[in-house]
Amino acid sequence: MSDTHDVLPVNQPETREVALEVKDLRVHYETPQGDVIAVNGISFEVYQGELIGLVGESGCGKTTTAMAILRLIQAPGRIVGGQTIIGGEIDLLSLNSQELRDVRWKEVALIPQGAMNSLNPVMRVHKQIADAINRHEGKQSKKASEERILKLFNMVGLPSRIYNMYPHELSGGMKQRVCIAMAIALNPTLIIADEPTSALDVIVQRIVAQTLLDIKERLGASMILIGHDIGLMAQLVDRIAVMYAGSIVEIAPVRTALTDPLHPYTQLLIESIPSIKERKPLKITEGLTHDLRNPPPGCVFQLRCPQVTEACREVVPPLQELKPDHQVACHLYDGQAILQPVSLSGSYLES
Amino acid sequence: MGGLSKAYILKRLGMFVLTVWLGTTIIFIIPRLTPGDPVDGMIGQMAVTGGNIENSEEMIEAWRQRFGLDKPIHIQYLRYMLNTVTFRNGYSLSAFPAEVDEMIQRSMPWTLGLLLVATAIAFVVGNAIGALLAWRGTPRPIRAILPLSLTFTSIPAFMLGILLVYVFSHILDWLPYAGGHDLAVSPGWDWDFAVSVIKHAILPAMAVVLVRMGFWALGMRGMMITTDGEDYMILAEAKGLRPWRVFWNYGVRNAILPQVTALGVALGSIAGGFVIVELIFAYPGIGYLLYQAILSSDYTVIQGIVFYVIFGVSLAILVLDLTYPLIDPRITYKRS
Amino acid sequence: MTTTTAPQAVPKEKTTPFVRRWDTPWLNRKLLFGLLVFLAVLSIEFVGPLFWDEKLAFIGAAPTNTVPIWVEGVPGPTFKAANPDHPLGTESQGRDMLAVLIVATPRSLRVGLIGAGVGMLVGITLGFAAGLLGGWVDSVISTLADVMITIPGLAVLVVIASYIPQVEIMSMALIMALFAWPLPTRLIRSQVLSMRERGYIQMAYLSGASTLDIMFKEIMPNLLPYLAASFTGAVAAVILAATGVETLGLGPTRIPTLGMTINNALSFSAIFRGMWWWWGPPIVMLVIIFISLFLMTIGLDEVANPRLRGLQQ
Repeated sequence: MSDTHDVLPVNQPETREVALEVKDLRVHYETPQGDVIAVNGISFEVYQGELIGLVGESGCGKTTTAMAILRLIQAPGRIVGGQTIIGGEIDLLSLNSQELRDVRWKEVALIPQGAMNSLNPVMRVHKQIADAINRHEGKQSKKASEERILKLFNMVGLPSRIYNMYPHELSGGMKQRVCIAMAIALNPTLIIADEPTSALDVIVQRIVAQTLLDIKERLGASMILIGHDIGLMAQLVDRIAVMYAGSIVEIAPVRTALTDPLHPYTQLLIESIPSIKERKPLKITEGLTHDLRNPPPGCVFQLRCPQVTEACREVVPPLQELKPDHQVACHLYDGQAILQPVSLSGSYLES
Repeated sequence: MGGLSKAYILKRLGMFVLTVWLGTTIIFIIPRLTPGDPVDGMIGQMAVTGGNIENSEEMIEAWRQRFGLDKPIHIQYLRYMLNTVTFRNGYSLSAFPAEVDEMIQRSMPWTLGLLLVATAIAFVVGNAIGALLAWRGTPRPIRAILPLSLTFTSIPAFMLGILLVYVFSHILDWLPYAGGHDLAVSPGWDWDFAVSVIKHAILPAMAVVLVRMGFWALGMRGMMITTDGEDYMILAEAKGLRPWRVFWNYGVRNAILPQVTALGVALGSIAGGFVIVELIFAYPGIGYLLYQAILSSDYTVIQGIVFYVIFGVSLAILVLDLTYPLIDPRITYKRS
Repeated sequence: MTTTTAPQAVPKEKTTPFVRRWDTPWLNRKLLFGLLVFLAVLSIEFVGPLFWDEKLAFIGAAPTNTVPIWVEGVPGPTFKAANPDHPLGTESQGRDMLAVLIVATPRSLRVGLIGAGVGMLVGITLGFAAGLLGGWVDSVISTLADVMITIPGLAVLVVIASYIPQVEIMSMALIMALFAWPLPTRLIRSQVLSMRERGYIQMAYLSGASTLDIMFKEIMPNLLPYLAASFTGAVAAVILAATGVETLGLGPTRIPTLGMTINNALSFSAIFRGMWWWWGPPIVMLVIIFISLFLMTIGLDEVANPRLRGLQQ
């Protein structure tokens, strides 16, 4: 298949299937001094077969979002509201624990950050994958299980000799690929990869990234890739969503985001990527982030935005579609929306 | 694929030898720290505490021979070490001509039997309780056990033993006071004897079990909490595995490892505490033998027992260390 | 960073009753309660003699075998009726039990505090030496500590004590210290090792701080809860060991200690005779001491390791 990320999605939104729909998701962390708002009512969609990247600085809420989709938020965090609809049918947040356990991994799988610790140290590698398979599809025969797991290894480029090994016998990159193999074992509707390459060195990063791409193309898997390395993202994802302080400020096809970022924050992010081609001073963003317990009314970015206006301090800018598939939440573009603000149901009205 | 590397085995054997050697050496040195000829000093003390000294001539001679006091100190040391590690600890001072090794070996089975069984029960039950306590799914009533077992942990085993004897023997008269078995029943491999042994073993065992149980429970609970925060637990949850499986295969299997290590470290103090428990119950094991030896200033027996204890505990730890890699596959590769 | 005066985005729904200042982990219930009880027991040394005559704790100071005052009648032929001068009863050697408690408790506590104190000092020194200096110093110290932990302490203590004709409190304490140092040494060493690699220590080195400076200003303050927990644990262990040795009969004979009292009770078959007021009070006192120390230790554990706090509240 050709480079999918070179082609702008030209299909009308209504004809593309949605793998995941997040509506108004809110996650808070309780502290004795009040709730910290980690995720502030975000909404977005992941289409079938696409790889969407979720970027932002540390603490912006991207991992929390991922954990919330998987419903792995632990105290003192809690999901306060919203919906996460998988495959157009199941709202993960409305399931009870039994149903949730049944649905997990089959519909949504996780490739964790830092596979160093994510594999059970006392269990052989194949057993950990077999665990998931047996749980959701019933106990498999030894032969069938072995065949299947070896095939999975093959798909992610792992040699079959590691079948009986323990996690500590594998290198970092291999461990990560075991996690990938585990994630695709049940062919889930959605795969969430939480900074899968952060803990690896550059060469291994490349291998893992390539593996992810392979999977996407061969299985048609829908993926959310979380990270803060925009450079790496650019090579992998179809669309990119930028988060700041718990809100999504821009969603765009990755090329457009890089060449023509609209939101001031995205612009700063792109500008701050050091270039090996030109010589330019390192751009340091001014200002401090606000106290997440007491966000100021209005736009989340107002305290650091170089183009802030009065309106920004009062009204929260909604996420609006300015160009096909390009959404921005910024008052600078008020009135420029080609369509009215995206309604929660995802259907658009002509303006 | 956990296995034993040669380096690991050698290191453990080395520790074993070192420990036994150091312990035995300490026992050798102590009597010689008192001024004068150790034998004279001992006899003098025995006279002071009113010990019964029959056969004093033969005894002094045997003692001198044993110590080789006529020879230079390093020869004495070598002879001592040689004799001790081949389990030839000489004659008892007060029960002469009974041999120390014989006396000890007669009492050993009682101690070993009770101690091993009690420790095993305490370990298994204690860790089980601890694991359940840390798990969110455990019902309330079981949770209430924690403060209870914690209270027991604070009490030394022998004190609990005293309380148990008082309650169950003196007040309730359900279980016998003392001894290893009913004196009316003669030892043998029959049912009556077995029942008698068990009846006599219950209270001392309970003393040890109740006390150690809380210790393991507390530790296991702490370990389960730590394990709960590990990344692989999160992934296990994400896979939608059933709670029991996560608890057991991902939680307990990992949390138990440091507990097993702790068991090795604790063996020394368990043995020590047990000695006194035996005393309380006049249980015919090594501990009681020690008590009697102290009463009669029977130094050879005292030293002999101490050696056996050091040897036994070190051996147990060695065995534990060598079997540990079977449960923890990482061990062979650790370079610590 | 000022916030606007507009209403907060999310109302403070759940604020715990703690005001910020009182939120420090050192003020946890177990620690405070344990400490309180322990201090109360410590005060017996000063408060006791004000109310009661200590000399009644010696042999022959009182009539023998009287029962405590709340006991009706006499439980056996060898006993005498309750004597109002001796509310906790007396034992077969003529010691008044209340006096025994007042005299013996501080002595047992002293053994614990001194033994643990000396052991901790040695332990801290060796632990720091092993952790900071590394190399062969570390190997020697660690191996020695490991071996000492393995050797059953009580056994060797028995040998030592049996050769000393009159074991007094100080000697007892110092002997106990011999076995109290290995655990703190290992603990300190492992903490120092893990802290050494932490960022702030390396920063301190880079800014030219001397090793002593680093030890006292950077490492120590963070180690405080561990040290404290180690200490309370050591005190309990020493008192336990000392009591054990005494119960076997190897302790001071003239002035009572808690362990020796139990030993006396055993040699006079007090359990069999049902003289619970002989062995009861020492046991109760010891249990109180152990429980208070235990509470303090786990309280301090929770200060040191925040994860343990979560389960309670």
